[in-house]
Amino acid sequence: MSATAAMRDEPLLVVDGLCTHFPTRAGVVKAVDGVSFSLRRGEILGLVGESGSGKSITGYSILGLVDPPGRVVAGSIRYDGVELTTLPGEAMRRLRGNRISMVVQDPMATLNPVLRIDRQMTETILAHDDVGEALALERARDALLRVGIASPDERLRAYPHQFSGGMRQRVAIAIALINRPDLVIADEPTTALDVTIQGQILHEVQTLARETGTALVWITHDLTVVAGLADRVCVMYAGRIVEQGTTAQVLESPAHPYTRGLLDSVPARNARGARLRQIPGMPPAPLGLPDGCAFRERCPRADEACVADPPMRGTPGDPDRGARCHHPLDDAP
Amino acid sequence: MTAPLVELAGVSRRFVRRRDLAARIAGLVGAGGAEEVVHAVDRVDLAIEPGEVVGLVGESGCGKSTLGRLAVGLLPPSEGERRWRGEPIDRLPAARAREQQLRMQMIFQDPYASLDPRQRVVDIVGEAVVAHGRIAKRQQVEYVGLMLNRVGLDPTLMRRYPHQFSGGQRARIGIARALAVQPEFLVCDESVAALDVSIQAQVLNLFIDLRSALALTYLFISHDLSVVRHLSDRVVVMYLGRVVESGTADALFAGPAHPYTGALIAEAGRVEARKRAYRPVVGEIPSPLAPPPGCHFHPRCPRAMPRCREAAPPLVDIAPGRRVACWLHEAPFAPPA
Ligand SMILES: Nc1ncnc2c1ncn2[C@@H]1O[C@H](COP(=O)(O)OP(=O)(O)OP(=O)(O)O)[C@@H](O)[C@H]1O
Ligand SMILES: Nc1ncnc2c1ncn2[C@@H]1O[C@H](COP(=O)(O)OP(=O)(O)O)[C@@H](O)[C@H]1O
Ligand code: SF4
Ligand code: SF4
Ligand SMILES: [Mg+2]
Ligand SMILES: [Mg+2]
Repeated sequence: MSATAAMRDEPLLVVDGLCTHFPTRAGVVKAVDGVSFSLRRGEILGLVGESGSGKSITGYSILGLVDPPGRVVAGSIRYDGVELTTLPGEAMRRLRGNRISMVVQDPMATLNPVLRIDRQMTETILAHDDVGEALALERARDALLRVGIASPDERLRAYPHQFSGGMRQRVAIAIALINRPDLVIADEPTTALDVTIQGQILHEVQTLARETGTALVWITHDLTVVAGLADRVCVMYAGRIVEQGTTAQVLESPAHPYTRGLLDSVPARNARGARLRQIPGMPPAPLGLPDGCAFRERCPRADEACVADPPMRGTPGDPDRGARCHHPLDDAP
Repeated sequence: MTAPLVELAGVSRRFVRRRDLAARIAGLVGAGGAEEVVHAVDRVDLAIEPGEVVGLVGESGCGKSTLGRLAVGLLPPSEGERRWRGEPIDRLPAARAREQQLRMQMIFQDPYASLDPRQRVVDIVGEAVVAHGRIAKRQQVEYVGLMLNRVGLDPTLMRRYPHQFSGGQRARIGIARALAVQPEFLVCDESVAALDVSIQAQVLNLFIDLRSALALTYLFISHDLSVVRHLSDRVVVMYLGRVVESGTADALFAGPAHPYTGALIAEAGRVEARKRAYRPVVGEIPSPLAPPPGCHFHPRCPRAMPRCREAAPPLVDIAPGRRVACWLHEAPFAPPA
């Protein structure tokens, strides 16, 4: 194997045993509690789970953007060989927006309402690459075209409020991608959008990963988005990854009863008009997690063994495939 | 033939709103001054049979919620007539209008905003039935207990306030409130959109159970095609205030006749793990303030012809129970007079 090929196979991001906790008056909220996964260049990882399962805090932890008093209390995040959990603030800031960037659900959180789009875009470019106004504007124009915005010259002179929600989100994505980052963390960026607009954005993102080798962590609660977009999937429940594998492995032969329950409750997988197969109960409150497996009270396979914390069990020869369960389903074909 | 339970005939709803300050400062104002008119619902005909579940789909802002509010009488139409079992209901005497109002209930889009945070559940659910004299005040607690049981909530929680419940429980409170007045017709506006996947299935099952237990008729509004397909007998597709297609759920999903319906179905998510090449609908959802002339969909339609820019296609019957508004379909089927 040549040296460059070896480099390409080396994961870009390795998250290992990440714990991010929030001390609160009522107790410690273990928002992320022992999360491990890795990501290669050009790969799209879908991070799915219900609200409160810890998806966003996982993303913020990687970017070093966890709000105090929350902080990473254990584990490591290695990005291209560099340990991020101990990186000084200034170095982290340089990395963000240059090599790692983020897209959030509400584009107005990243766009400045009183600045014209051209200024916002060129400032981002010039902050990381001093190429001069003219070239920066040219790049901004290209970036808008790439996310499917017609007549970019006109759009560059507009303010954010003159755009529809879907267009704003595409501008936010264009800005996140403009410095050709190696890694993009996208937190539910299409959840609020209509299907036709969502389709446009997913199209651009897919093209980007393929053409520039940008790796993506795509956070969502929507299994259908993951199904069409991701190469690999991690399913989160109560602060932990309970199952991981390729998209086909996880969606076609789920090993964890929670993943199975989620898939079974999707309307398209039930006879039309019939009652849906449902997971009973509710996700546990962050401060009231049961001992052992957090899914225990809702799980049809639970027994005495589940009072003990199940470890993540890998698959021999395939470390990226596994489930955290004492009694995994084995209906693999 | 018996009359439909609910019927809208040529119903329109326009909103006049003041332009916002930002728009004026940004110099967006051409002609027209400080006010602008939105045709939220534009000459819609809709008939819903007793016991039927009709799904209403379309992109954000196309007028689904407005049509739902018109259908239950929460909003008066600017034009057109509304009928209940064949009888016009827009000019009923006050007492009969109040009776009529109870027969039709709406479950709102936002389970957070639609419950008064200062009211206890016992009053949120029980107030209207008591106020209308359907039950006596002293029966309220018992009655609310029955309603909460019916939607799968613990009646001992009725002294609590909305913020003390989860999203899924709040959705159930909203449903209990609507059911309390014993309606015959329910409009469910994006009633599961804000819920987590596992809770979504629970609430959809509740709708399915209630339909058969109480012989309810539903207008089910959702942008989620898989939900609509699962629940509905018939589906109505809206685009920018107009109905562009309607038909049985089976027929419509098997063979969409309108290019927009086709695009919606093509883009709708699936859980089969196949990397997809997304082939998006081009262009933006146009502004309802300045809808394109002719067929509203023409700037985004892959099959647009010159005439599509000039005249709006009428909604015509193309098969029994199947209607579409598109110049590609010229009414080969004439309904019996
Ligand atoms: N009270 C109002 N005043 C002014 N405009 C309104 C009002 N209510 C609705 N509109 C406008 O009418 C149009 C249709 O709105 P409606 O809420 O019916 O859309 P919708 O299809 O339910 O959208 P969504 O999927 O986002 O809920 C929109 O352009 C909206 O901005
Ligand atoms: N600032 C905070 N203080 C205390 N708890 C928090 C804070 N932010 C998030 N949490 C908790 O951490 C958990 C995971 O949150 P989050 O990552 O935002 O979930 P998701 O993105 O999966 O919906 C939740 O229980 C949430 O309530
Ligand atoms: S460990 Fe036990 S309770 Fe947890 S998912 Fe597996 S079988 Fe269910
Ligand atoms: S009328 Fe013309 S523009 Fe409209 S949907 Fe049909 S073909 Fe397309
Ligand atoms: Mg989140
Ligand atoms: Mg609405």
